[in-house]
Amino acid sequence: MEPRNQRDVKMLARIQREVPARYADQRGRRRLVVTGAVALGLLWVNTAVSWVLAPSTTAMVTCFVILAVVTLAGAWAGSTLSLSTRGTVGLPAHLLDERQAKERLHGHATAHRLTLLLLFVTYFVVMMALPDDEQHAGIPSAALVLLFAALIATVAALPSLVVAWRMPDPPADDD
Amino acid sequence: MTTEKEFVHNRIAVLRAERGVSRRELAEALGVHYQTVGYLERGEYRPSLHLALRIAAYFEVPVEVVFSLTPFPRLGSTNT
Repeated sequence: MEPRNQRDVKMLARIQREVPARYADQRGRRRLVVTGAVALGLLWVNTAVSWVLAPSTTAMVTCFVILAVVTLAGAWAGSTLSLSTRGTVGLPAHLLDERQAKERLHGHATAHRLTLLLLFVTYFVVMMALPDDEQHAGIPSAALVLLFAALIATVAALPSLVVAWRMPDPPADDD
Repeated sequence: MTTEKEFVHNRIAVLRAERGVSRRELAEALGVHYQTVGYLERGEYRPSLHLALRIAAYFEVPVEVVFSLTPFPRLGSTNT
């Protein structure tokens, strides 16, 4: 876990900042995970709303309001999670020790299984939602874009959420 | 998941206290995160053989002095 350059030193310094007390323990971290999961859930709701209502003003307004909320909540939860897990998911591998590397592997393995499940569920829901009549099988393009955005965001965020959920309470500082 | 059967007992905290070494100092010497030392001491993380040997080398004791599959006898105990 040796920094190789100035960029590594900066990254390590950023990730070693003090964690806000309310998110420093397992319970607080899990609250953050729930916040992140709700933000991701909103993206999926957004997709559904767009699928049903687009093209319409209601769909557009709902879409932008949800995107604004998700962007703000997601950015805050993401950065706080990264801090409270000490960059276990985000840091380059050479800046992690063996425990953190193992945590990251576990997180990615679980996230991979969840992602596969999510992709299957999405596939079947989309298949069921498509009309039988192939002549009128139009899906609102906004819904397609939002569906992919929700998928990308979920796949990107899952490892962090899994690692943060699994991490035990950090040991009390003795210094 | 670490079951009781797989639990590896260690004396890192005792050795550290005896030598007056803080977690951060030990972590720095080993090149690991200081929380990893805490997780090791609490038995929530089992080190690789490489790390176990480095910990033993740091304290200049054989590895079996630091790690054991059976609980270490309490200090002052007659069962040695």
